[in-house]
Amino acid sequence: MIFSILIYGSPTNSLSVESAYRFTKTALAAGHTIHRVFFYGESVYAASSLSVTPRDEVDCFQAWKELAETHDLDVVVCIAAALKRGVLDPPEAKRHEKLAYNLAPPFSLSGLGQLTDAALTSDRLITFGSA
Amino acid sequence: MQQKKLLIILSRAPYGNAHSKDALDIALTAAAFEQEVALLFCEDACSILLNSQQPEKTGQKNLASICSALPMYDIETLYVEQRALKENGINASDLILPVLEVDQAAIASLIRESDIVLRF
Repeated sequence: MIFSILIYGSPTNSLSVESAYRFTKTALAAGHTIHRVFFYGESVYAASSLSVTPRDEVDCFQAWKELAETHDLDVVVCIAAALKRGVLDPPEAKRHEKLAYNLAPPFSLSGLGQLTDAALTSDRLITFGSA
Repeated sequence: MQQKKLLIILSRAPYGNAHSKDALDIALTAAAFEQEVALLFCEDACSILLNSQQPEKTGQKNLASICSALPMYDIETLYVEQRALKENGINASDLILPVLEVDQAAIASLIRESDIVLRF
């Protein structure tokens, strides 16, 4: 089955990013296809390479990065949600004259059209939200 | 373009968090991509549609105004949970657009008949 994943919960104040990770990893192990993972709302913080996670906690950034690289996943971060939360790739940092960037491959910035496309292309779109 | 039936369920009060606005943004984008989009306002989300609200006074974008643009995106039917209106003491005439009031059984059918259901 072809799955896409929508995540919109915070990586630090909800389990949504971590639950989505576990689901994605398990679905891949079971032989399913992940068409796209779409980070929306607060979940965009999970794509920031500047987060420093305590050693005894789950590092969502590292976990998703490794999973995406291993399986060549399309991990898209909503550009509108990311920019207003200070999650920028080098072109956006330059465009908005910011001193730094914190988003790099395998993550990419794109618009909500990518979510619509994921909904159309996949058999199931699974949402991991938050309270 | 391929077309699917999307049901977007809003269930939270507006303005205290970004969920309602985020859900409406998805609805508008999907509609712009010519998808069949239906919106269901449940629980405290029914107050998003109140026509008397003035969120501008607290620096917030008026979500009811965004909703009033939905018909222009061919999102014609707005479903509102009947029970939520009753619990919140809201009459359909207090809302910015005409809505279709639905009970729990009708909500179950709506979900069943949709290809994709997103809940915010």
